[in-house]
Amino acid sequence: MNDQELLKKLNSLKEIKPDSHWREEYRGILFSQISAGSSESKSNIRILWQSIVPRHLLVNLAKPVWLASLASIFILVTGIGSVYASKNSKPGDSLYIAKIISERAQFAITFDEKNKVKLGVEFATNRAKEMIQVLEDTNQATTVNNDKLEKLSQNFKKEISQVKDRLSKAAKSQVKDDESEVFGANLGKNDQRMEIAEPTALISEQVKPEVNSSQTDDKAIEPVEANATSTVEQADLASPPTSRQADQLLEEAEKLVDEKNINGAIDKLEEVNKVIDQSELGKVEGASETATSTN
Amino acid sequence: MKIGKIEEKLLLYKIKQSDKEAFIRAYDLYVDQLYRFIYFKVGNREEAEDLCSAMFLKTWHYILENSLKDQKTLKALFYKISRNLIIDHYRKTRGRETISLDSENGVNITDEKQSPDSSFELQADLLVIQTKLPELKDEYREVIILRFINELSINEIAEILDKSKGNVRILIYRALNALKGLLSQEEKDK
Repeated sequence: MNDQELLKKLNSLKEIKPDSHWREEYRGILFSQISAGSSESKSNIRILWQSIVPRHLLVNLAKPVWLASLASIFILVTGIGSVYASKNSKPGDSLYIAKIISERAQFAITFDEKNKVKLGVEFATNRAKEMIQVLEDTNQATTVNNDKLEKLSQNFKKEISQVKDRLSKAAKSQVKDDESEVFGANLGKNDQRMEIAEPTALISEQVKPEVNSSQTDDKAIEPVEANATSTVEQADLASPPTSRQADQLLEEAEKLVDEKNINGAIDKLEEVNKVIDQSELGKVEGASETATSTN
Repeated sequence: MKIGKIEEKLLLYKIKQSDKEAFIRAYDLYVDQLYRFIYFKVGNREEAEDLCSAMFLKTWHYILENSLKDQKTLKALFYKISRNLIIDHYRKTRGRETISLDSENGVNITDEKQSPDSSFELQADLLVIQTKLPELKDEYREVIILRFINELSINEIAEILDKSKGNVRILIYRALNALKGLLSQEEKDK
């Protein structure tokens, strides 16, 4: 008997089947046995749908979204919390680094030059306040405090020099702009000057109408008599006189820090802030004056 | 009666959902081959019927009580439960009797609708198997039934026996050689 014959004979045994009577009888018995407690038959489409789309698909999909949003809320809350908690921290504190980072971040997201100058002054004030805190701290050894003071003093000077740089740069660019305007005016191109002045006038009317109305009588004549460009020059924050005044105050603050008169330095920095604020107010007034003169 | 892979998976899914009609459909599909498998293992018609009926009921309860996450096919599950029941049966009847197919006692296991010629041929083949198959090792006999009589694939046999496909191939090769050896021995004796 060869392989093929053997396989054929083995395969023919497939014909062996159970007794058909037993088969049908047991089918009925089995059906009745399994009927108790079983569920209804489902359609194939429903089963396919259930197998493709699991029951808790939406819940499962929502899980990562929930986790991500919870994590971002947690990071946000802890970040804001640590920034607030670090506000009164001084060098050596664990949260001091958070304070510095938040200052840098604040600086990075500020694009307006004037606001950057203000922030620089604010940071310098912070360093001065920290110096006061260090001086008041008697728990630390004197050498440690001196090191901290030295470092803070350096940081203070760094902030001050950055503010000075910004002010001088702004002043230079402003002088260039003014020169070009004066040049234009001297050529007798009054129409161009009108175009420059008109939008400013519109803004000034929207921003400070009360200033315009109350001061019209007093100031309306003056700009007409004076050179119109000089009003803009005087009003701007970055104009050379403002810059010079701020520079002078900053230098004084530096000197006071060197003399360990930190409260005095803080006062000077507040004055710098006032000068900046006043120059901003003056700018709006100046703009309104220009508008009056052009009308 | 043959069934596609997707249809079988659908059937298994339905049965997992306690669908009794799906289980009866599975009974209709597999009862013949499972009966044959059990019959060749136990060698007795009545015992095969009893074990076969017990196997179906046990499978139903097993599916209801277990999640069957690892179970790939319904057919493999039926065969596995059949094997376990047969092992239990061997334990109970150990020493009482030896395995031999009962056709020699005049029991006609063939369908009554078969022609006399084919019936005679089948009886002759059965006689060969009857004498030689029980002489084989249990695992050899098992793979021969599964592969050459019930025509299961290597994958299916591997799943039923919990062996690798390579092992199953080797087992089939050795089982065939062993059966051929027994048959040639008988021819020489004649």
